[in-house]
Amino acid sequence: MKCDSGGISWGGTRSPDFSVLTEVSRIYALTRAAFSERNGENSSRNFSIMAKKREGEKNRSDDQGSNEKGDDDGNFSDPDDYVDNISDEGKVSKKFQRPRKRRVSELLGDLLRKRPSETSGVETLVAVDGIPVVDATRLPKLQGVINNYFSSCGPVANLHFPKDEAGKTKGYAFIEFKDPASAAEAVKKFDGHKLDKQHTFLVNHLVDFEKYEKVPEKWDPPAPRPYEDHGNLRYWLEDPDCYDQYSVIYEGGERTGVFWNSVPESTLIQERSRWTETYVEWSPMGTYLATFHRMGVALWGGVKFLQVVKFEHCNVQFIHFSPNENYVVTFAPHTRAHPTTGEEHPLIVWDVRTGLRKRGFQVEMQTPWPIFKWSHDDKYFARCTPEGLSVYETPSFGLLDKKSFKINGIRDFSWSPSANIIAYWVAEDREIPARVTLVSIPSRTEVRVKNLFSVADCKMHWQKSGDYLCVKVDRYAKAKKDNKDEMKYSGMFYNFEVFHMREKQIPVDNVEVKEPVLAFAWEPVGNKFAIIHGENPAINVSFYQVKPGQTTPVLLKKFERKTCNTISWSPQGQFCVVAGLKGMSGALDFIDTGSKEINIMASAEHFMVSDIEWDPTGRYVVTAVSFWFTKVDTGYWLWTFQGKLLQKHAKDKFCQLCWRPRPPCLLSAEQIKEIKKNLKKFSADFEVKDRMKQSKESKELLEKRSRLNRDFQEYRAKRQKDWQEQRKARLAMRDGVDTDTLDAGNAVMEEETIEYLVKEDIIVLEE
Amino acid sequence: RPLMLHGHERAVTKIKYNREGDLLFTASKSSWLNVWYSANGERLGTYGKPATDNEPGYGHSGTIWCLDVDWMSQFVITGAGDNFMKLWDLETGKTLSSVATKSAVRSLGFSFCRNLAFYSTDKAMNNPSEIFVIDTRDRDSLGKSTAFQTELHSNEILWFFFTREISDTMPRYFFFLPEGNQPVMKFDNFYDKVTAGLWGSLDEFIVSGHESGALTQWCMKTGKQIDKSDSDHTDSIRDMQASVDGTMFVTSSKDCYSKLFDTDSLECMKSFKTDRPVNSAALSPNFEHVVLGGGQEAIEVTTTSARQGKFEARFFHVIFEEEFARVKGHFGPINSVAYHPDGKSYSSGAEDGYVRIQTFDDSYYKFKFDF
Repeated sequence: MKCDSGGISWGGTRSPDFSVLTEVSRIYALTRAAFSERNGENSSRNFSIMAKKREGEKNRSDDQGSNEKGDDDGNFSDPDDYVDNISDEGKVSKKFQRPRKRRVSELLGDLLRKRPSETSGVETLVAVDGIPVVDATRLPKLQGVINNYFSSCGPVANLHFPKDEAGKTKGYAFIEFKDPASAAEAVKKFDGHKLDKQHTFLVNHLVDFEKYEKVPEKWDPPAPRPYEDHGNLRYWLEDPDCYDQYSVIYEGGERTGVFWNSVPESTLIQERSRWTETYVEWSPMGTYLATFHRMGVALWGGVKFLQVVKFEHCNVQFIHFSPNENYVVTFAPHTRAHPTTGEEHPLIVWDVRTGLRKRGFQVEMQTPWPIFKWSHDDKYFARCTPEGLSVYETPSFGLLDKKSFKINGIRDFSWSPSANIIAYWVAEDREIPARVTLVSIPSRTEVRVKNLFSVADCKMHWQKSGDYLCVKVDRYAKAKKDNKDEMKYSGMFYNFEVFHMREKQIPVDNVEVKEPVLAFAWEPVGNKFAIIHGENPAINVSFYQVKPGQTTPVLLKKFERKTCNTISWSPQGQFCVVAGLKGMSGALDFIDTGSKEINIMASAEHFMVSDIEWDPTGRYVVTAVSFWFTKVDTGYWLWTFQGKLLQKHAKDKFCQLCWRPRPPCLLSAEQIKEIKKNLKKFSADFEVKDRMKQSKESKELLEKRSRLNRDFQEYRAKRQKDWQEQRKARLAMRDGVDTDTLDAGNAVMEEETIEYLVKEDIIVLEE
Repeated sequence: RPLMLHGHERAVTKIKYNREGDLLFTASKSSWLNVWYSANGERLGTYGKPATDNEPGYGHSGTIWCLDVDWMSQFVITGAGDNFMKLWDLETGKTLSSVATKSAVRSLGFSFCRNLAFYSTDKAMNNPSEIFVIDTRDRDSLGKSTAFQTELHSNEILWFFFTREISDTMPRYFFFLPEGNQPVMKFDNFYDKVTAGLWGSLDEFIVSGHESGALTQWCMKTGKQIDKSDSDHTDSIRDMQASVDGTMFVTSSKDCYSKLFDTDSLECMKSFKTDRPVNSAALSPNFEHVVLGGGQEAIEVTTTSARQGKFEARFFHVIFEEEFARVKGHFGPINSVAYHPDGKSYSSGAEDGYVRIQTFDDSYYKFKFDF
């Protein structure tokens, strides 16, 4: 059979690049064999495409001479250039060679990756030392033993036992595997394996020999990285007016800006287009602004918001800073192997200051972000695993005491915000009750255990200063399994178990609520908490106070029939905003809990509001309507903590607003007390300052207005003069009738009386 | 208390006072025109009537998009979505002329002297958007003009001047007698739809507003484009209304801005920002005030409440560009606003089918900005 008569032909030079395409080629070779048996008419529809190429192929085979024929004459096992079949046109010339190669790599990328590289062979070899020395007679038996051992790691291609003159083995052997992975497995598995009392395998990768040979004799200390001065990263705290900053993303994510929240209007500091690809996040103390990019995360800081450090992590989606900004965890849920380093960790912990990678982790179970939770002092971080709790310590990044906590059925945990105590809860398991446990780290002592019954779910809420822990327990009266083996609970009620962390033995109080609970929030500083409970439309907001020594928290105030689903406390406590976010009308209630009677200072509305953000000082609140939630009327409004609307910013496709956090106050408790005592004195100064500013502003405004007025009047005078000059022409156009003013033509007009029918009375007269 | 005029079953598209302000004309999507006494809201009559089972209708058979009244209050011209432009006798309500066009008539206007009128057509199918100038006195030519239009080439604007008698009152114009039905002048490159237009001072030019937000001046002497401003508005211009003396005009645009332009130089002098598309804006004849009407587009109003749609009329101070008042009332976007020529009241017509005549109260006159 000749290619000319056949339906297909296989042209082209045999290039070493394609010798590896054995799999593909073999398929084609086989089909071709089958095809040639049927005498190769291009009747098969499978090959009709290739048949079209025949023209070109023929040309090609003419060009390239006779080796083509040799190939076609039955030597099907040896693959030809497959590429020709995918080239679009039949024209073949020398210059076509290069694009052809590229095309192959495009189409067969995954196959090409398997192509052996030049080091091929060395990677599959391991050297095994510590094998018993035997003479030639016992060699086959030894070979069998060794082969038995190592074939468990993968198919062994070759065993070689070097021998001395006497024919005895030298006590070591070389094993060649079929693929490098088995070699690696062998090193992992048998290095240090005890064959018997005298013999221990020492298995090494042959590549390693090469590698260690190359290690230079003299160690050069790495050159210290030149110190980069990023300026004062905390400059914004030195603002004389104590303004705060916030970041805004708008235009659907196209632009990001950072603003001063100055009075009376905000001032733009930096604005960049495409600063981030998804969203931005401030570090917990406000030093850095983190932006997200396809290649990783970048941190920006300083006066000009220059890049301080970046973490290369492909497709990163989440980050989580440690509370003191020493470390950051990045998470890329869909991580693929890094092209050069082979990096495959979806979770990576980084050192913020150096930008160095500290440790990568795999994700073992689905947990809500953040997967790793940090202790308040950055010393430990922990996560839930299927078997329990893994606590790691810094700066070694190893497991604490090299072992995890074994806790069966752990559901969730959290760190105390002010002490190295972990609270976790374990679900009910038949007869064993659910329990909430507080563990001290690193001593691993259980400081408090609380057993709970009939528990559907628990949520742990730490008060921000770590004084209290409230566990919201969803309890049920009845439980049964439905068809899908999911638990169905009925007769739900809710308990709030309050742990008094500062008291001896950690006493626990509880409050029971029969209605569904929509939200819970601690006052960040203080001892009050608020809950939203009830069912629409009878939704109530209740404020409780926790008092030491007392058994149950005291209900301070209950606001009934509110439309709300969120409580947002001022970071300084005392004030809070209760709002109906997203689906709910957008009603806002500004509540003061500091006075004797908890009262609503102001009620307002921001339709479709989706986010509420307090500034870090608790002076201002921003209510925002995000483009991520709704498409119309996006923007943000700035309020005082008392609920007075200060500014409205309608931004096109506004997405997100984040206040820049402040580090904790450096003043001692006494100093703060002192200031509070003398507040009157200070406030007088501020008032003077405010008034000066205000009068200056109103003066500026008036000046601006009078300037505008002057300019406009000038313009009008000029235009009116023009108009007067055109009067003659104008009159001519309207047949001499003066219509310049409304009354101008009145003289010649007739007076017209319009009569209105005001009322119609029908009086029936006597007949 | 506003006067609520409910003479249309469907959305009101355009309202207009006559020069004296005693009459208010309202056009709507319900194919006929109403005229009212502006003083008491009594309906005086209608122009056009839809067909009923018993009697055939007359007038337009589609949405009336635009209307104008001449300065003598003798004629009314209307343009509609039924591809007709009609000239009516104001007093009797009879159709004097009916001009067939190839697409919907979007905007029109009487010239200052009322002898000429322009109208613009939509871009539809293969027809480009065009502006035509007609002589309103020559009824015959109006009828004939339909014949000319069939010969138009696409991508060209054609200006027609049909006049048989060259009047002494307009000595400044070159009028060409179209011989053999040849167009007088041609312009290429008419790229986007004309959505609004008005006459310039002394009828020397026409200013057209376009779908892209551009404004163009067209000279009546040479028939060429004089000036152009295409960066002030970023979206479709919905309405253009001149000041009393015609030296300035105010635009309203879908880009949520309303702007004040000088008619001669097309220089943008002031801009008034809102958070909703502006459909119409009118300048007060006696104060530096401008009223803006608009709101969420009807097509986008689905789940939001009336309050959310922001269907209020907003008053801005022209010089300071600051908003000082809002008038609520409509429950659909306002399509057209107009100041009474005496400046003591204004009217608004909205998508909800109502026309509201609001008379200003004392606080309106007392209000002054400090400067």
